[in-house]
Amino acid sequence: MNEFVWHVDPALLSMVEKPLAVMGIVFGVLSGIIVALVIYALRRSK
Amino acid sequence: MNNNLKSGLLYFYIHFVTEVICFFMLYRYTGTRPEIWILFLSYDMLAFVPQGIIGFISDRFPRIPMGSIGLMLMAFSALLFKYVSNPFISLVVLCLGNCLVHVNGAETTLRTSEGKLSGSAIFVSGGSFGVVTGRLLAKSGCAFWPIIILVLSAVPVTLYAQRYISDEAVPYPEQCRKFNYTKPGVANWLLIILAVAIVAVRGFMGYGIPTSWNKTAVQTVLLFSFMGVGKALGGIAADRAGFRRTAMVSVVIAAPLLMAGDRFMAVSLVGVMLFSMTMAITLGLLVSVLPGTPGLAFGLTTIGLFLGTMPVFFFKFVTVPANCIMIALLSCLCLGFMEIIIRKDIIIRKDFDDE
Repeated sequence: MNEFVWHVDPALLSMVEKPLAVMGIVFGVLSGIIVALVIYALRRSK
Repeated sequence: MNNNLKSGLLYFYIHFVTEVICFFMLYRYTGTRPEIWILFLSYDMLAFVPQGIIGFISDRFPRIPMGSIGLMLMAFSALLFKYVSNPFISLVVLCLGNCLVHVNGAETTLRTSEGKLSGSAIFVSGGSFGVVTGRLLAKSGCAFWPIIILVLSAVPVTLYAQRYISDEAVPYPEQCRKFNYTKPGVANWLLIILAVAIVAVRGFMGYGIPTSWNKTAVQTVLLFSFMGVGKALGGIAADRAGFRRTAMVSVVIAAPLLMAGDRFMAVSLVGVMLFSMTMAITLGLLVSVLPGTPGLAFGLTTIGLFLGTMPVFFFKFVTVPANCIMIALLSCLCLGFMEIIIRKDIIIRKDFDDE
């Protein structure tokens, strides 16, 4: 029984590959900045 | 009523209005196009992830009227949607406005709280009512202009509510120092990772709650209303009954109710309400670790929410038993994380006696 399935049709996924890649990059950049800010805030609070 | 509860109630309205326009627009973007889920995923990322950065900016410059700017940006995004053909341009402006309003609400309610959670929890709860209202208005075919007027009506409310921060006698960097809910001796980085993980796990669980009883608009309104009431109750109960007790009890009781409530609306609604109570708890934990930067702390909760909801766009459990097993396992995981990072209760009742 396959209880854990692809929610998105693979054909549909291929249509949005480019925007997904852009979002992945944006997410990576934003996450990096936030991690740096958290480290900075923790160091300052000591 | 103290300033914190007043600001909480004002931001309840502002948050409500924010989610009304966001979900009204989202459901208008969607229409019937099949690839539309990418817009929802983009919305989640652009509205949730940057809040950490905007929160940090707001921490450094708390006098910037971010809420008012955010509301005006959202009203502008509705105009862009009407007159610019590419919906992503409007979506980006909408998400930026959303970020600014959320961060502003968190800053104001946390900075006036004196270490309590009621105000922030009331602010957060407004969103659930806004989400369902926005969805229903979009589906009813409501025009854009009443929504724009509704959003602009919140601008003076934001300006009024934000003055509560400057009324505080305590200087800005010290305003959240009374948050002290984390267990002493645990490394700060571990506290942050586990608190964000709790938010993410809860976010993922939320999409797996079996609710086959939910078939009508009234039932959907009830579901979101109980969610909203639960979020507010989480903060109020944490202040009155104790932070740790509220966190543990709500998770332990919610899990079986959620699993048993697939066909029984009343059982499920109580479960959803209890499940939503941990929202304020995780915010309190993160502000305890980062008391000098409450905006950044709030932003970390929204990142957790994004990390938790992102997998749902690609995978989902399709049967009720699989969802029940997932709820049971993830609830145990949440309890384990809470046990590691939440300190024993210190109950402060003074402000409630003053009311």
